[in-house]
Amino acid sequence: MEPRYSTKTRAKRIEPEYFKRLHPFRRWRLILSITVPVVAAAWLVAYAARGDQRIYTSGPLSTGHAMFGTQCADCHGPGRAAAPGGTPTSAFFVRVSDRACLACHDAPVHHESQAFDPRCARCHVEHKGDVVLAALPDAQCSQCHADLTRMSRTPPTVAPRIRDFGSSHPEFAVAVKEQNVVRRVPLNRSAELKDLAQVKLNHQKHLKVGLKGLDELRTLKGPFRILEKAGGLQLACAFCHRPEASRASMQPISYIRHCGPGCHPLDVDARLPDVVAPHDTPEIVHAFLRTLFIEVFEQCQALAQPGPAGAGADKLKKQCQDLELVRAASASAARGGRPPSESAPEAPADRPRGGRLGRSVEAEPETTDRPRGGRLGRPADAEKETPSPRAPSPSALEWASAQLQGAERVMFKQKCEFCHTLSSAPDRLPRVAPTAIPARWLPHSVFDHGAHRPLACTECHKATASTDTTDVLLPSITVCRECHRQGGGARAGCVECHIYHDKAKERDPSGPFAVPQLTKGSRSAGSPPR
Amino acid sequence: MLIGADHRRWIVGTVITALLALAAYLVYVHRALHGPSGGSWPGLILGAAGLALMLYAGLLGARRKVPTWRIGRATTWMKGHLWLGLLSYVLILFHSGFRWGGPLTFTLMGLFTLVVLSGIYGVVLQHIVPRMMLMQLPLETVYEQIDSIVAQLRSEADALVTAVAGPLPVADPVRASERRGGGGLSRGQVLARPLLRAAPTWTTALPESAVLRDAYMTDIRPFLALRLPRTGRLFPPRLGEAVFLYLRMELPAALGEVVDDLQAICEERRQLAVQVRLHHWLHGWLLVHVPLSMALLLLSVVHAIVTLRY
Repeated sequence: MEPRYSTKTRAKRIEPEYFKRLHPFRRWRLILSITVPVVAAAWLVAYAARGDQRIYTSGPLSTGHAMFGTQCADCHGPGRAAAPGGTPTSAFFVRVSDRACLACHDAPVHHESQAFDPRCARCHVEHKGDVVLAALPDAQCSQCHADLTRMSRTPPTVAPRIRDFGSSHPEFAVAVKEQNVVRRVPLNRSAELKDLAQVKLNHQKHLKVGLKGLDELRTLKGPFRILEKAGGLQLACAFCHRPEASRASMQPISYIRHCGPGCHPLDVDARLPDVVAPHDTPEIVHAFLRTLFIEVFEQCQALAQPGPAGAGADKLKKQCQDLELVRAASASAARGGRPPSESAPEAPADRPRGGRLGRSVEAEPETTDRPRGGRLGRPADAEKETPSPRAPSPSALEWASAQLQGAERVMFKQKCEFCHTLSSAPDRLPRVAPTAIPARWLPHSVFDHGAHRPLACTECHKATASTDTTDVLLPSITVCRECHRQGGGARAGCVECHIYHDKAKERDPSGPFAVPQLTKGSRSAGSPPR
Repeated sequence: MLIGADHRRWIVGTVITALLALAAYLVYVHRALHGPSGGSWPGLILGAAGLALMLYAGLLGARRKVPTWRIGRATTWMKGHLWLGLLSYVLILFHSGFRWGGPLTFTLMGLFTLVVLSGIYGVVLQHIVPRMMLMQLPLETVYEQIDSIVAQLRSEADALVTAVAGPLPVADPVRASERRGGGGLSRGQVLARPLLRAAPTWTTALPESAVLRDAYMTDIRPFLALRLPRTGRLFPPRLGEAVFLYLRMELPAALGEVVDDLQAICEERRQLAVQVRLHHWLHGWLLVHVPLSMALLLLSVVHAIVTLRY
C-alpha cells in the first residue's frame, strides 16, 4: 500500500523531548534494577542479624563438623579453644589452624622420620559435603611414599616406592620371628614363610565334613556355627575365629570357647570320669592333680567311718574300689592315721578351682581361658572351695604321689602335648612353649572383616588345604586385587587399609569445651576442668 | 548489536583466552590433591580475573548513562560487554571447579547463569527481531511515542469519517490530550493527504455513508484504541483488506479516497501493534538481565570480601 506520507512528514509526529519522560518499560527496568539488589542485600543482612554465616560457606561441612557451620571463626583462625582477646588474627586469608583442630582431635605424628608435618587442613579438606575427612586420595600418601629414599631422613623400613595399591604396592609381608630375630617375609616367598605359633593345629582336619564329635558338640553348644553339609556336619570357620566388636580383627582363640571341653576335654583319669583338669600352666595342673588325689584318698578313707548310705556314697565307694583305695584306706587306719576330726585346717595354697564336665560350657566365665578342674555331678555350691579340715596324712601324700606320676604323664604327654609344645627335663615339670599366635599378622594395616562378611572365609584363607601349623593362611595381595582395583572395583585407596596417624599414641578423650561452647560458640563460658 | 566481521578479533581473543584458562585449569586440577577449589591460589586468580571482567561488563550500564564520557566508543564497550562477559562466566566456572558450593555461591552461580543466558538470548534476538522489523514494519516509529501516535491516528480517522458521515456517536471522539499533535504538529492538526487537508466540500452527511459510519464504529475505531482488542477483524492483514474491499464496493466512488485513508491509518496502527510486540521481545529480556546483573555484582563483591578473609 502506498504510504500516506513521507518519513520526514511522519517524523513530525514525534515529540522532540519524548525521552525526558520515563516510559513504563524503562521505569520497570529501573525499579527492578533497584529492587532485586536490595532484596539480595536484605538476605545478607538477615543472616548477619542472626549471627549466622552459613551462607558464606563454600560447601556443606562434613557431618561431624556440621554444628560449627554458623561461625567461620570457629575453625578459621585460632578456633574456639583460643582465649578471648588472644592473638589477633589477620584481616584476610585466615586459615584453619591446627590449634582449632587439635582442640577436639588428636593427631599423633605419622612417623618419627617423616620429611614434613603437614597442616591438618592440608589433608583433611572441609566444605566438600558429607565426606569422610580421613578418606584421603592416594596422591596425599604418595607425596612421600612414591620415593621414600628422597623424602625420609632415615633409611625406610617399608617399601620405598609405592604409588598405589593396584600396581606398585608390594606383596603383603608378615613378621616371622626366629631365634629372637623378627624379619618381615612377603607372602609370595613361601619357602621362608612360616607360622611359628607353638600350637599344633590341622585346619584341614578341623574343617572336615562329618568330623567326629560334632554331633555331641552341637548338642552341647547348639547349632550355631556348625554347618550342615551333605556329608554331615562341618565346623564353620567362625566357630573359632570370631571378629572383635569393631570387626577389625579377630578375637584370640580360647581353649574353653573353641577347643574344649566339648572336643578336647582334659579328663584326668578313666577311673575319675567326672574330673577334668584346668587348662593352665603345668604348675597349676600339678597342684590340681595332687590336691585331687589327696582329696579322693581322704574321701575314700572316710568311707570306712560309719555314715549315711546313699547313691552318692555308693558311687564314691565304687570309685574308691576302682582306685583300689578301699583297701588302702583300711590299711592306713590300721597304721593309726589321724582321724579326720584331728587334722589341722589347711587349704592348699595353689589349689585351682574345680570344674565339671556336665555343666554347660557357656556358663563358664569367658574372660579366662582356664577352665576350672573338678568333679562331675557335684552341686554348684559344692564347687566352692572349702578349706581342707586338716593336713593330708602321710599315707594320703604317699598315695597321691604314686597316682600323680601316672596321671601327669598322661596329662602332659597325651593331653597337653596334643596341641602344645612341651619341653621336659628330669625332676621338674615340663614347660609349655608360649603359643605366640600373632594378634595381628599385618600390623601396618587394618582389615575390616565385617565389610567382607558376604565372602566365604576360604575364598581368601585357604584353610581347607592346610595341614601344617606352619602354614600361613593370609591371602596374597593378588587375592585382594581381584576385588580392590581402580576403575570399577572395590575401593583401592591407601586409606582403606592404612591409618596415617599413629592411633597408639592418641590421648584420652577429654576436650576443653563445655556444652554451651559447642552449641552456641560462646567463648565466655568457662572451660571444664581437664 | 549484530555479531559480524568486526567481532572477529574479540571472538578470537575470547576463545584463545578461554582455551588458555582451560589448559591452566586442567593442569591445576591434575595437580590438586583434593580437586579444584576456589580458595586455592589458582582458584583465586581465576576468580579475581572473572570478577574483574564481570565488573567491566557491569560498567556498560554506567557508560550508557553518561554517553558523553570519552572512554572508548559505545560499540567497543558493547563488544567488550558481550565477549568479556561471556569469558568471565568461563573463568568463574573454573574458579568454582564446577561446584555450586554453599547458599551464597549457589545463588551467585544461579544468577550468573541466568544473566549469561538472558544475555545470549538478547544477542540472538538482536539478530532476528530488527530484521523482522525492517522487513515487516516500514512505518516503525519511536517505541515510546507509539501511544501518542495511535491517538493521533484515531484523531485523524475521526476527522475523516466525521467529514463524510457527520458527527460520530461518541461523547468525546478525541480526548484533548490525544488530540495533541506530534512534535512538528500544532494542537488539533493532523497528518493527511492534501485532498483531505483541504476543507471538505460537503457539510452534511452523505446518505450512502451509513455503511462507512457503521463499519467505522464497529471495527475501525476500536482498532485504533490504545489497547488493541485481541478479537478485532482488522488485525489479520487479509481480513482487514477484505473489510475495506467491502466498503469500497458498498460506498460511492467519491468516498474511495476516504476508505483508502482509513485503510492506510489502520495499516499503520497494525504495524505499530506489531512493533510493540516485537519491541517487548527485543527488549523484554533486559528486565531480567539488568536487575539480576546488579544483584550479581553486589553479591559477588560480598562473596569476594568474605572469602578472602577466610
